[in-house]
Amino acid sequence: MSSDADAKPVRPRVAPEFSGDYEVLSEGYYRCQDAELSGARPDPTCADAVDAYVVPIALEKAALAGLPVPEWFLSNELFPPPCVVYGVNPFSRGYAFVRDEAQREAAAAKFTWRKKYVLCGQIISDATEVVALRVVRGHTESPGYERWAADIDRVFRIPLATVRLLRTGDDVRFSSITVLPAKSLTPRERAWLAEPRTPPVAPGSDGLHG
Amino acid sequence: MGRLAIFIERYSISGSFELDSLLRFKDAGERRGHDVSYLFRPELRHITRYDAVFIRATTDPLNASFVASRVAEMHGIPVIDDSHSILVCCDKIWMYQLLQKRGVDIPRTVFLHRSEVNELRAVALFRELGPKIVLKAPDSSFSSHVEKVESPAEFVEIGEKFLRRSDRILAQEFVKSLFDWRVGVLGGKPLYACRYIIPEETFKIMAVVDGKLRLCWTEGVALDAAPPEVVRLAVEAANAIGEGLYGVDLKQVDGRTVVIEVNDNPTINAGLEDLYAPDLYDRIVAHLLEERRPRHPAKRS
Repeated sequence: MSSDADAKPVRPRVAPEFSGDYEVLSEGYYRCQDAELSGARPDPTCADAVDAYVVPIALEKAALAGLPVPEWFLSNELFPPPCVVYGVNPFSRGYAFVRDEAQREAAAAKFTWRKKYVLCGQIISDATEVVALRVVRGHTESPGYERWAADIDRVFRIPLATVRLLRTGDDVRFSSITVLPAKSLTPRERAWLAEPRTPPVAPGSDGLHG
Repeated sequence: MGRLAIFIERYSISGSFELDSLLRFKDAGERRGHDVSYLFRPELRHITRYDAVFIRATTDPLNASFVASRVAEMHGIPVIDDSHSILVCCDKIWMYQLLQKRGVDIPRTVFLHRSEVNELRAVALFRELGPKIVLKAPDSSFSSHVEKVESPAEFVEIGEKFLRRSDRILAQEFVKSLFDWRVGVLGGKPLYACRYIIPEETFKIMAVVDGKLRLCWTEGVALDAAPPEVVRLAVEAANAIGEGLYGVDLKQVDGRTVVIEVNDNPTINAGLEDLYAPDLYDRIVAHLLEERRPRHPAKRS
């Protein structure tokens, strides 16, 4: 039994794990685990990685940290379109737009593995689009999303991440985080890896996040 | 008075032993003056309405039970199983390394990277661990993805199969016994004991043999009738993982006692695990709602 409020001893931080893939039971995940077992506090910890990659947990964590998130639900039955859906299971990757009821059944079957698992749906409007950011240690090459990149890094501490946001006009909300393979980095992104970590910034200080 | 949510899945109520056990938890909670509700997946958004959460569904870092655990924690709500225990117990690489670090006796165990699953390494491992080796995928549960191998070729075949699920696997000395001890531990104290009698046709508590499912038989044992060394080692192993509820499996062979694994979310079936520990329901409810208070009451509705 525990809660986040339980006191934990301060552990030394170690160099971040830069593979970009921290999926449970992957080599990147195990390298983080090795560091934890040696008594250090890596970026990310195994718990950080799971918090980031399991969509409903990431949404809850983002919301508690003050980032705007869409209204969301868990279901393995019927759900109301339009929405974006993600699987919550060991196998499903990616997401699907469900714009109308005709698309719903196929999406539900795919992401719930025929009702064996649950899916996470995020309510959108017909005008919503998904914006994918590549975030490297709190930086992004996507103009206009620098604050988002910094905030995602502050909240989740995932050194390399593909971040999906839901954009409806000027309204932008956090949607999910997935892997960003190190081998896909641009020269500028690789340079960011060598930079010292920037201090955390309060969310919404540039007015982007309501 | 507190509000306890018991998170369950539909399969949690498919067997009569499990269903009876869930009803006994509810009875125990209500007898102690608490409100007890069953919570299903679509209701996870309402978790903040409760003062404590007890998960009675298969745990895995990538399924809904983990969401229940983690969301409860984020809101300062006491939960069994806590997310750390789930992460560790659902990953045998992590679990055995923690046990080794704490000096808990386990069968000789070697952790293997992808590049080590080859016949040359297998020959060395057979020399080190004996003529029979047990290979385990880290996320094995209910004895699935646990196989005994007796030749380098078999080692590579099974090892490669398990590597589809994980980048690391483990090899372990084979320890033969007619039964496993299972000791339930709650908050560092023994809760119940039983023996899992292993079917003759297999070395696992559950296996498919010739197309038929073979299950172990559970035999309840009073805690004070279990070998003290078994109970002591079970508590030591549970303490290496955390302060929650665990089912620790152990073997005693030729005077040696070893921990086979520590399980979060241990099976508690009415009339079996609780046979000589009818108070276990009260103890779990009290542990969640009466012995510790949430640290963040201001966040609660």
